[in-house]
Amino acid sequence: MQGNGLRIAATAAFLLIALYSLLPTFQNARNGSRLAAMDPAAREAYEAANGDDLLATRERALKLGLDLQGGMNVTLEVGTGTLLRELAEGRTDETFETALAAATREAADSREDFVTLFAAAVEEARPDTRLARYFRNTSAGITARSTNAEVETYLRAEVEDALQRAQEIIRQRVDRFGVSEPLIQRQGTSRIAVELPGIDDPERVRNLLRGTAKLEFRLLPEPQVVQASMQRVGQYFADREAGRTTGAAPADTAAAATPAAGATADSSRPAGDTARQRIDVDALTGGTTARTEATPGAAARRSFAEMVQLSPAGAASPVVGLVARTDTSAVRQMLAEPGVRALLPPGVDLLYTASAETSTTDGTEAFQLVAVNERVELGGDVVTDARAEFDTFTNAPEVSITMNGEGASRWRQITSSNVGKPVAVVLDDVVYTFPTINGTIPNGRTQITGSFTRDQVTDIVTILKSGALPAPVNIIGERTIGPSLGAQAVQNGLRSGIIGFLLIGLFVTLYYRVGGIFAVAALLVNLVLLFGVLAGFNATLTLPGIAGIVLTLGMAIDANVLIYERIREELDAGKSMRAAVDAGFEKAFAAIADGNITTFLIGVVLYSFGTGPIQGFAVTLMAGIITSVFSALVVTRLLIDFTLARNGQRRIAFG
Amino acid sequence: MRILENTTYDFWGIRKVGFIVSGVLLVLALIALVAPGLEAGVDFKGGTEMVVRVQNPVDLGRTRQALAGVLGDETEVKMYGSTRDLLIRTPQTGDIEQIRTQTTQTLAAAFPDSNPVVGDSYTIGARFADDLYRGAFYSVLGGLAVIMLYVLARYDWRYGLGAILTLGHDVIVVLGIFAVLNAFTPISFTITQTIIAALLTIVGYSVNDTVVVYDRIRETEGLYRSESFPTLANRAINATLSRTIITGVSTLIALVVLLLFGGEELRGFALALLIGIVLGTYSSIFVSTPIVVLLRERFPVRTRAVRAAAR
Repeated sequence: MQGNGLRIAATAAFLLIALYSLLPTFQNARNGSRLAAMDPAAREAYEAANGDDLLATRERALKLGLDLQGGMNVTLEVGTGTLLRELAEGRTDETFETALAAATREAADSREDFVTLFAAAVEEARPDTRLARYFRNTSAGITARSTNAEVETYLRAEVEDALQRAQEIIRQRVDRFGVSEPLIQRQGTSRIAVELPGIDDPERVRNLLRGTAKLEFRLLPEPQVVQASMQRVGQYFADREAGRTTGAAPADTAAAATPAAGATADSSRPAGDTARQRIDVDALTGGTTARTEATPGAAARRSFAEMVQLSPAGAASPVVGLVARTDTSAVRQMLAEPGVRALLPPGVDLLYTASAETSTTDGTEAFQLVAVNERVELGGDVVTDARAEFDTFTNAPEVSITMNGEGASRWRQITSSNVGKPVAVVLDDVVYTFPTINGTIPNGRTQITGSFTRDQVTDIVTILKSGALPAPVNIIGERTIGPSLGAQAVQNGLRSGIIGFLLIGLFVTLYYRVGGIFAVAALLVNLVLLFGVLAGFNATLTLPGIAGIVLTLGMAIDANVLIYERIREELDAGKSMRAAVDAGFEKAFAAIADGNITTFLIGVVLYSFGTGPIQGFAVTLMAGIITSVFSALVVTRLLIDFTLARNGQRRIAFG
Repeated sequence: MRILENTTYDFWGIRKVGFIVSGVLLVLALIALVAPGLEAGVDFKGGTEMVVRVQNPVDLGRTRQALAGVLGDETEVKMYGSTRDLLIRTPQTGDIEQIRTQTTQTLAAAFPDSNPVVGDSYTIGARFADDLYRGAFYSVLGGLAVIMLYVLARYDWRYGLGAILTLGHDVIVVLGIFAVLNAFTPISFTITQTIIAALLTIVGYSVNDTVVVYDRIRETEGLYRSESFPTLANRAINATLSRTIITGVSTLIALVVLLLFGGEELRGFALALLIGIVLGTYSSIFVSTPIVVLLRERFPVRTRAVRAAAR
């Protein structure tokens, strides 16, 4: 019996600690069901009164991963290329652009950071170039005489700083969005992972996260001029599409028989070209990939006339056409072709409006295509405050912005000299509204109206107030899980756990009799400790994690099996019960240790190289190993010793 | 209850059976790995995966055809658990909202009463996928290296080599089975992060099984000096046979339950582990120990007596 005092103390202590760590989890579950039972008004009052308590409990409870409660996981990448170009402040040249493009290409399969790649690419494009010529910045101590190494250090610091700012800005935006437990983490040198439980509007989140809040006021070109050139663009595509079909005919008779098929097969090349061009453009700007990246297949299969419903020639509106939601990126690509750019008046951009309207002929959702000047009259950097307001007459939600002194005076100038003309409010290359200027606006206060919903207004204000991201961010990975599927997963996991536990318990009890019952008891202790460890260390329970626990059930038995087999052997060899138990535990130890250490090491490797769900699995695997070894060696031993001490015959059935 | 107690099977005597079975499995697995080969999932290849629920069962072939028009020819459509849930996988990434809209619109047009709704969606950009792939590659490599170092530190090098060869055998055969399952059954068995986790768990389990036998050999080596090494090895396998089977069955119970009740998402994971545990149990009996015996015969250990004499 010696040493059992320690065993009892350890088991009791660990169990208490585990239960204590699990307490908030139980409380949280109880809070949840109590809140669900209240009527909405009472719930609101209760939440207002006990908000802090509820939050504290929830924060300390065992967290469920996104795959179990539904939500959204977004991995963002900060566009380092754009940041470098901004740091160069317009001192770029051909070498710079070539090197930037090369570095962007190489970054795809290199472990080096972007700055190193860029520096190497500059060196290759034009040896002995001083990086300082691009990145001179007296306030940062970078002069024309700075060495390349100094400039690189400065750039790396800037990139790091930009990433930190981006993370902070994203945190602010997410916080204002009102998600219960957002998780925002840095990943590697240029990525930010955002986890948003319980999100049901993924599109809104995407816009909120990657909105760079590039607010611009731009004037609009003469409508008639633009409308006329759009007619020419339409003709250009009509000619090309017709020419392509007939051109393909002699070469391929099958295609001639079915013109549509011919067009499809033939147009794969141009589509590929635009796709490549798109990659280059995006690589350079580092931005808007998510919006423009698209479906060459779709682009190739439908003609321009089918996708764009042009406004009538000579219309006095800046709206040049309507494009269905599904065609926007294909049309954007087509309009970016050099042949098309040449037909459009210089200095004019064609941008989409922010909200879709159902006004095309077949009733699908469509965006307006608006012609605006490339020239930015006033930028968002002059905005000092933004608020959500409601229009005094229509009560429609709108965004009200306040400008600083410089912005206000520029705005007065612009409005006074353009009375009666429209001005476009462009946010992140999307036209929100293009009202006609009714008169001079003197104080720098202005409203952005549009067919906004309340949510949209809130989001725009959030983006404007949190400030512009230092560089554009792209969504490079995303996972959306519906809440009902998450609930289903929890249910499945629980059910598997319970059924697995019962079956394994039955099996070992049948096989080892009393020993089996002890093993089941140890398994129960193991489960309590395991959940306690997970809750105590703030781990997140994921679906693979549950799988890990169910698997642990099976493997945890192993230690007991090793011990019992040894005890049986020793008993068969004629030893007394007491001696057999001692020998069994002692001899089984080496195998238990070896097996569990190797599996634990696997867990460590999985944790260090894996991401999200894999780490969840690794954590439960490692925690499960520690708790199961403890349960088997200490708890089982305790139960056996205790029974032997009380049992007069000093025998335990090991089957 | 006692099964497999005090067995005296001659595993060394039938080692050729094990070698032939393993040899055939390895060759078949290697062929399967070349063609059809493994298919990388969205995690490692990039692309978008969606689960779409439809009101009425739809024809998979026609769905694929319809979707190929908008999402590209590489689009795959598989059944996901029930006939009303479709798993759609496409190399497209980018504007997820657009891909989702295109999918539902196309399905609604092709099957008027299907009323498709996109449930979960999962998108990984190509570059991100490259990084995940690298991470997975290093974790498998790292896992194997860590185990090798541990076994080498704890045991004689013959055991270390035996354990590593066994693991190599297990990993290749399991991957081969994945390739076959993916190509010739309706089960989608693409290689994802979850499958990599399963693979490493299999490695852990297999090494655990192997080490238990090795431990017993080493322990009895000192006890029965007069016995030949093959006899010792046989005795060790037999002595641990009951433990090997009971632990294996317990783990299999957990996995079968997971397979049946764990839901669609865990099915691939549970099946992968199920295959791996069976294989790991087999290999700890028929592969790892015979290898050590062979290595001992080829590179005999100088016993204490010999060493003493040499001194």
